[in-house]
Amino acid sequence: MKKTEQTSRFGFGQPFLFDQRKTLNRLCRFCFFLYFRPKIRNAVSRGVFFGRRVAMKRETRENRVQSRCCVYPFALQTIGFNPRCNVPNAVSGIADMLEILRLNHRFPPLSPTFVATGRPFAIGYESEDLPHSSFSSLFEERARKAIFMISASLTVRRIGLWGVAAVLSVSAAAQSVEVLRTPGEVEIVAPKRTLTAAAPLWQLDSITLLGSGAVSTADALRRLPGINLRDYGGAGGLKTVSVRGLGSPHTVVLYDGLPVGDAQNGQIDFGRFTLSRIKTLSLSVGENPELLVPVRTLGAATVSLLPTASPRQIGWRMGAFGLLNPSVSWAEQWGKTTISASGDFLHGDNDYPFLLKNGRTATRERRSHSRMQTWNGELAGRYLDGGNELSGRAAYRANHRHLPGPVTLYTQLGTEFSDEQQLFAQCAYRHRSERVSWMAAAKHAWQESRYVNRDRQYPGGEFRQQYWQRETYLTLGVQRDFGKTWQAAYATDYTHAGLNSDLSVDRRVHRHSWQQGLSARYRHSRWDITGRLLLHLHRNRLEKGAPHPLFFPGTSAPPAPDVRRLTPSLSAACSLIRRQHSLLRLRTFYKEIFRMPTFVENYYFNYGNRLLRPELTRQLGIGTTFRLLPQQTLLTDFDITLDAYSNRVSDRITAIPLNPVVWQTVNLDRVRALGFDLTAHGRFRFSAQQQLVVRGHYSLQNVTDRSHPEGATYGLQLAYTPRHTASLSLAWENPWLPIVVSTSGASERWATHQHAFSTRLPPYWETNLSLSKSLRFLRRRADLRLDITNVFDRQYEILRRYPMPGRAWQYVLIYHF
Amino acid sequence: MKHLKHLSLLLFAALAFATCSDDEDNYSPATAVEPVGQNGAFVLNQGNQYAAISSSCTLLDFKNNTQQNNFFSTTNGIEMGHGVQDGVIHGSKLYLAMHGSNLVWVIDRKTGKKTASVSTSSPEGITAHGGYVYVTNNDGFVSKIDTLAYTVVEKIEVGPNPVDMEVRNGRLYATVSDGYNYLNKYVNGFKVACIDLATFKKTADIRVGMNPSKMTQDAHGNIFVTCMGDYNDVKPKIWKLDAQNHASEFIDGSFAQAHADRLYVIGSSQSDVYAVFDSRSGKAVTTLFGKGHTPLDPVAMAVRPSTGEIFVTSRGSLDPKIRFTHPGHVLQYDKDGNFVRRYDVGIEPYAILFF
Repeated sequence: MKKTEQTSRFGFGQPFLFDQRKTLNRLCRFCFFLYFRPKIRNAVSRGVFFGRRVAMKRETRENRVQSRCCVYPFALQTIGFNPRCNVPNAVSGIADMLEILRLNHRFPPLSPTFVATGRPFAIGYESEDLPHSSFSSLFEERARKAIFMISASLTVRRIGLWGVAAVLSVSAAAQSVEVLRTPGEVEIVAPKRTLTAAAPLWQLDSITLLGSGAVSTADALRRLPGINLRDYGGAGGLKTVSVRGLGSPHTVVLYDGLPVGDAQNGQIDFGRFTLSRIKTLSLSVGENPELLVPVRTLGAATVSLLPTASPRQIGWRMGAFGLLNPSVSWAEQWGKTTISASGDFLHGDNDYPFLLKNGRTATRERRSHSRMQTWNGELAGRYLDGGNELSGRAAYRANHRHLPGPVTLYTQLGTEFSDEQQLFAQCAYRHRSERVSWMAAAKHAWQESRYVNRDRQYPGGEFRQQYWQRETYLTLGVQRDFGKTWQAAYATDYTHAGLNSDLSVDRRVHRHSWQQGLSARYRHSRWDITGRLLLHLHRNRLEKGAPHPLFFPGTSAPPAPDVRRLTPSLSAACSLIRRQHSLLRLRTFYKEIFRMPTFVENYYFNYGNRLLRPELTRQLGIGTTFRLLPQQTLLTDFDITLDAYSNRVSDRITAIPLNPVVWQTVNLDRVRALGFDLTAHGRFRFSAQQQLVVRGHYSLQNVTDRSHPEGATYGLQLAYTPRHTASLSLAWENPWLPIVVSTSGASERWATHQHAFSTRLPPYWETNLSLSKSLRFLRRRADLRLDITNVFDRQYEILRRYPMPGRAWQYVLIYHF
Repeated sequence: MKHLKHLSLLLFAALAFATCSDDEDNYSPATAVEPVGQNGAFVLNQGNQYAAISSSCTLLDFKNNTQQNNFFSTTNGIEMGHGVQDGVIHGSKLYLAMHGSNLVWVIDRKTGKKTASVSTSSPEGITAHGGYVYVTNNDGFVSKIDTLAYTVVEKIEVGPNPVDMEVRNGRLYATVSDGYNYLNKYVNGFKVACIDLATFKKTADIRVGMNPSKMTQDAHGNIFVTCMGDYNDVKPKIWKLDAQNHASEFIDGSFAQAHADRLYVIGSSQSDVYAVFDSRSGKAVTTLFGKGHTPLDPVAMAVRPSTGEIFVTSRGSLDPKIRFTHPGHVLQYDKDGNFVRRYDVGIEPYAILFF
């Protein structure tokens, strides 16, 4: 190993070969060069250095933390200009450097030995916070190589230059990040986090996800505050979330930055997003930290899923109850273009045992008719040229499920089947420059859902429905910066959603939506104020033709009326403390937003009501973030967020029975949600090799019916809404076998709105245990992880008569090639 | 998925929407010695399968004037299951058709202890005759259960979604509703299947109105069939099937209960008509329940054979959010329609069986 190739370009667009001595010289020179030449620094910051304009300038400015400490001289000091430094020196050098990184960059405090064990994500952590996956993958790649070098060199006890080279590569990697992040002045920027957002934002990146012990996307969501998960159990069960008592159709789900739509039911099944393909999962409530965003992303609450731009790897996941999940991904970079592809297959039998309580008896039963299979394929590309970024993504998913239905006493159901296909293609273009930024994106999504109930009670021996949904989405936006304090942005969205079915006499339903958003941000000193005004225009249309028996019994019935509304939002944040080692920020927001009735709510036979008004939500929130980076203590990193809110839902859409057969949706209810969310995160460093990361949340949700004071359910907590939810994870990072223990739970819930006695669901806790290890195999890295979910085999239900799995195991093997 | 859930809810509700039928006319000779209804009654409460609330059984004891809710689960220690549709007392046993749990419970009438369970697909109507219990299966069959072996001994296909049965002159009449075929306006229903019990073969189909469900028989051998319509434009009607199997539209109404030569009819929520008709002429005899104690939301009606008292079950609340999950009532009226008393029973009281 005389030379180490850097796959990415390093230095004026030229391929850079990592020869140790030369490198050291170059690096030193480069660092000094950088440090003492502000002009050059500026140039570097604009991305000349990388032969491309730096695209995330906006973010960096937004995420700026006022610590004006520069890493470069420290980095140089720590590596000490001494090419002959020995390993202890090198290690301590790295340690110091990382400490500086940690203090000034919110880098995770890593011990060098820890780094030396070759844990892949040790440095990758920081990269996750970079706004652009290509950059982060670039960085990850470097970091990984660096770590490999260290581990390789240390493990074979070959000291000397290798160690230095390792250090250098680490510092080079770190520097590359710094270069990318420095917006025109030597100022260290912190990653995008809650503390910089004017409204609540919680983010789990792939490392924190690992550290949280989550095994699925839904499981990860349950560890976020304010979220109420509905889970029908097992890998095939429908999983939806609602945030802060607002109901799941109010939750906007973004995949790779663009909204995922479902005009039919308004619910997105989180079971469709495999956790291993998610790089960052974030929840924002009320406000988006970015000013220039598509209007549809500004929902009452937004769950954003950023798919990972994973490099070449093969994954194998296997677990209890017939879980099998092979996956493969591949990425290639040609100059400014990155192409990646991934695919996976998921099979689960889900025939887990459960305890069925029946009166005074309890029997051990097993779930049946719950097999599921999913195929996923995804192709993504990204082209970066200075401040221009063009990205595209196409994905296909096919899913076949047996629906087990609820557990029914004395019999087992097993006649329902569901087939789904989803196909979408999207592309986005962003241009960023000093004063004006542009954004444009387009998406087309197609979805087919087939449902069969092979129950002989239905005519012809089966009940069959097939639906097709299409959604076309276009968005365009521009942002202008007026000096350093004022920014303004305008964005406009057009959505066309259509639904038709296989029924012989078909009448298609359509909705054209045009949404416009005007945003302004004022940022000065400690203050950050953002205001937005959104104008929504929705036009409902019915295609001419024979009446649709399910979606309209009468020929003359007009479509649902058009909707035109204006909704405002305002958020403000103030940094009360902005010290180097502590930060205290207060934020508040008010937001009004509504959701349109879904097609089912509007039109479904004997159920829908075309005269529905949109469901309006008003949110008022206040919160604080406190962050502390203590020095010379066991606790090295601590942050806490506390948010209180008062939400009101009016014109809530509810189905009521006109008679036992004919139900109808009406704008009946008013709901009030009062609550608070508390999150805490701390990092305890016991020694250079060991640390404990503690992460937890607690949410109180008082979501009550406020419709009619004389109503029987007035003032009662809504069905399936726990008053208390909490989670806690402990990650013990060590060089031998990193362990994560995590638990999450909820208090009692009721399956009925009036809290009928027999419909109480007792509180539950689920505890997961996760062990991981990185190994070298055939000169490549292999990551092995073992998860034991529900360690104590607690029997619980989130939805009544849909039992959740008991103790289960799975192992994940990822081989990087 | 949501729409499917709702749809199935509708379907289930459709299936569930039917009045009770007493089987007092079909009691085996052994119990017919003393007038039925002297001792007490079982009220069968459906519960709510979609909220996973089990069905239950309420025992009304007329002699001691007591009431016991959750009779089945108290005596047996287990839940009753889902979607009780109907029951019949035959000999010393009570048979309960549990639609959601795909079984028929066999229960000792005195102690309430379960004796056996007979597995059969989605049973709905249940009646007994000559040592056999007959069950309509919602998937299109009538099953014959041997009351000694507690097994299904024979099955006959009658048509889609059969609901209720009546026995008259050695023949079994079963309403065929095609109730799940609402998209095609119940086209394969509209009939009452007639089965010869001696051969257990279908002999005829008699055409009646749309979506026929519950049946009741008066003292003169007239069978009254409640045809529920489509719950929208086609209003529910009561058809009369006279002793010569001649079917004709009789009157409007969605609940009917015959007793002696009277037909008690509730016009359901469409109009608050609680009336008594002469079961032969169709002339209104009197209007009932006009004394401030009308049922809130009637579910089923039964007449106590021994006294002629009228029992109407009702949901306990009209609040749409709790209408189907709130405990219901049984309202007792004397034979002139004067309110006597109210019993608080379980959710969705669906049938009353007198003994």
